Amino acid sequence: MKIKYLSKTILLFISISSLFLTTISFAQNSSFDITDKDYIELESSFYLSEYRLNNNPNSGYQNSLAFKNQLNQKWGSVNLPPELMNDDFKPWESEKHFAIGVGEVAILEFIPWALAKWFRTWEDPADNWANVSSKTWWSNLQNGFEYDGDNFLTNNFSHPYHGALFFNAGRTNGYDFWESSAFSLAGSAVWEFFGETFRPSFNDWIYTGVGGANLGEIFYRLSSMVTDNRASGSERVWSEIWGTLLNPVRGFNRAISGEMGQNFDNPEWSRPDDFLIAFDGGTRSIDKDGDKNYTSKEVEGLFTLNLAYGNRFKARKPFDFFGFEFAIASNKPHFTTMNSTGYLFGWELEKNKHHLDVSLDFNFNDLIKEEVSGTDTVYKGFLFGSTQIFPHLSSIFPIGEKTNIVTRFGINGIMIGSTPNDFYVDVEGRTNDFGPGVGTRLYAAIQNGIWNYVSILYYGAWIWTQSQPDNSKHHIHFLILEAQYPITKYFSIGFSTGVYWRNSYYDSYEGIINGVEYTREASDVTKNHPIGRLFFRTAIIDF
Amino acid sequence: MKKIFLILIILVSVGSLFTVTAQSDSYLKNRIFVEGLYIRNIGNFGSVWSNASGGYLGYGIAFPEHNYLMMRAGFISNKLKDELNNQESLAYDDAYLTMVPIEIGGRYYFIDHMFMPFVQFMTGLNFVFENEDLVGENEDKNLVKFAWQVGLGITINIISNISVDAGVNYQSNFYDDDAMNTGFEYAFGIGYALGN
Repeated sequence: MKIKYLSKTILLFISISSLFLTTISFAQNSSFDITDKDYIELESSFYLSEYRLNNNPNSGYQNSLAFKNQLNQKWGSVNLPPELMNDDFKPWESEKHFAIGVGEVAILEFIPWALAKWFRTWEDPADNWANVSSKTWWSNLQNGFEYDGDNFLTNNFSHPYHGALFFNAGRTNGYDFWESSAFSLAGSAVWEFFGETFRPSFNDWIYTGVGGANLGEIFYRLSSMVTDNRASGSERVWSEIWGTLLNPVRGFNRAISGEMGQNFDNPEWSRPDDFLIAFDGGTRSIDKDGDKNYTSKEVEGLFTLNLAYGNRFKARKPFDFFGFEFAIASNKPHFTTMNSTGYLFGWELEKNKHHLDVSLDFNFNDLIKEEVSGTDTVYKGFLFGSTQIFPHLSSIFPIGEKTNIVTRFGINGIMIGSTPNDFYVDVEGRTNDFGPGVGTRLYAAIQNGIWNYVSILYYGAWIWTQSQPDNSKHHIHFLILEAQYPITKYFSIGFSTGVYWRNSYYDSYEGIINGVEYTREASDVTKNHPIGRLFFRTAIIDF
Repeated sequence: MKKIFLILIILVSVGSLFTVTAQSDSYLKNRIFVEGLYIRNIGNFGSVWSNASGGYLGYGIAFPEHNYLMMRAGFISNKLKDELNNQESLAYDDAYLTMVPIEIGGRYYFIDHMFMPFVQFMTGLNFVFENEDLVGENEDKNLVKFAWQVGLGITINIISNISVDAGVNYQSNFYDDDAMNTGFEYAFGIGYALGN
């Protein structure tokens, strides 16, 4: 798909933010009067937040913020007393709004299409992919799916983000996770078949539809967590801004429904019992060539945000538990990692000990290092992306008062995986093959509280190439050993060492891809990339 | 075919484990269904195999209030285009392309009523058995390809436990990069509700 979703999405976000900022009413519920007594109580609190902490049913959640006082001092807190809450207010999401949800998907489709159709300057107007007609629609229906040539970032990030917006057109209009997944899948399918002149792209559909559901539910839950319906004043304004930044579609719906201006209870599920944000900083060394000589090392800074929401052993509904990891590297590509796992459904085999769960996982690991010399560009390093389900057994074995061994093992059911092709670079920038896959994952850790003293992870998968040029398969492996030593309650140092290795088997190929003739001899390739990390880790928020 | 029945039995058994008991006054009930189908193939695939016919045997699990989880297995036989069939040469006399789809998906019923319109989405794998490829080369091949379809239909509840289904689906199954198995499927079937 040619569309640069990211830039379009930023424009869309600015539009929605503008609407949001013009609509916001500072959450003052005009139908209630604050009594003098209330003001006195508010003013007499040493920290203004103290009033809220003593009166808010969610105070357990607020109390557990590691730096709550700093946050409250910064944001301020002038919450209304509980008796002034609007108990009669009916939250927008308590009812389904099908027409509005579909309308929002249509808007999310229309904006990037209209920008390309009428506002983008095309060197050759024939390249304008937005010039759709009944002829292109019928052609797309006849030809069906293909795999496109977009680069890794577009396929593995931009599309899931756009899908997350589609998903939230359902989710924030009263639909549950499964129903909202239909919004992202249908929204993407409509775009692929009818929004572009190009043949529909299967990888776009999966990344947008399924990856979008994954990312969309994470954004939905985080947005709902930071938005405080009981707050008012500057705290409310900031909570709405953060909520809208995390989930623009939800912010839009809160604006048009008037929720931003109402004081009412937060949904109980929006405040999870367990929540952790941890931040890593350190260095990473990888071998770029993968030739086992280990002479082509690249050392870079690496900064990682880790987020754990909920408790996997208490999860009942999709994404009651999820983990999210986002990393930025000092060298290119800067955006190097975005991995997530979200509980879908499961069975408790033994209370608080063994759980058989199925999760929806998303992996984005881009460590492709481009080396440009003269007119040649050489691609070193590695990348791996997947949208997959992960049926697995989670277990806890207590070995001390607060120390446990936790294990997870299961099967990687990869709907679509991305791994490098050693011989082919698409004219549109794709350096990887696409295909479904299957494999195993094993994880074990000695855990104490929020820290893993030692952990080991193995991830393996076979990927069967479906994109052109096909006739190849890849066997990939990650093995990572990590150790941490907590220096204080919220601070640890650690290291990790590991290896990514890949065996790729290419059959001979002869054909025309995107109008370019391409031939390949049969060959096997083995790559072996050791990875090492040194880091400090701090828990920013833990409860 | 034995394998198909075996798989179907397993699917039905597993499905029963997750059954959500539908309200007794609801028309949305767990059902076994049998469907006949006709497919009009289009695109490059359709220029060789013009149409197909066959059937599905499946099981649907009702989820309140509008949702229906479906599992099914089928048998589809494709028909060579008439121009190719009518050639005097006997080269294509024995040509066959048979598909065995095993799919999972769902329906969303708009209303719980005697007449229940729905949208349907199914996805799964197509086991393809052929002895003739699209460019006319003889070669016995077994393929496993991704399959999906989306469409509209209606379920009519005739008498207490018996219903009939009719639907039109667009399918875009994988087959060959330049010739996906695209087409419009017309299905008609009968369902039997389990329990009250």
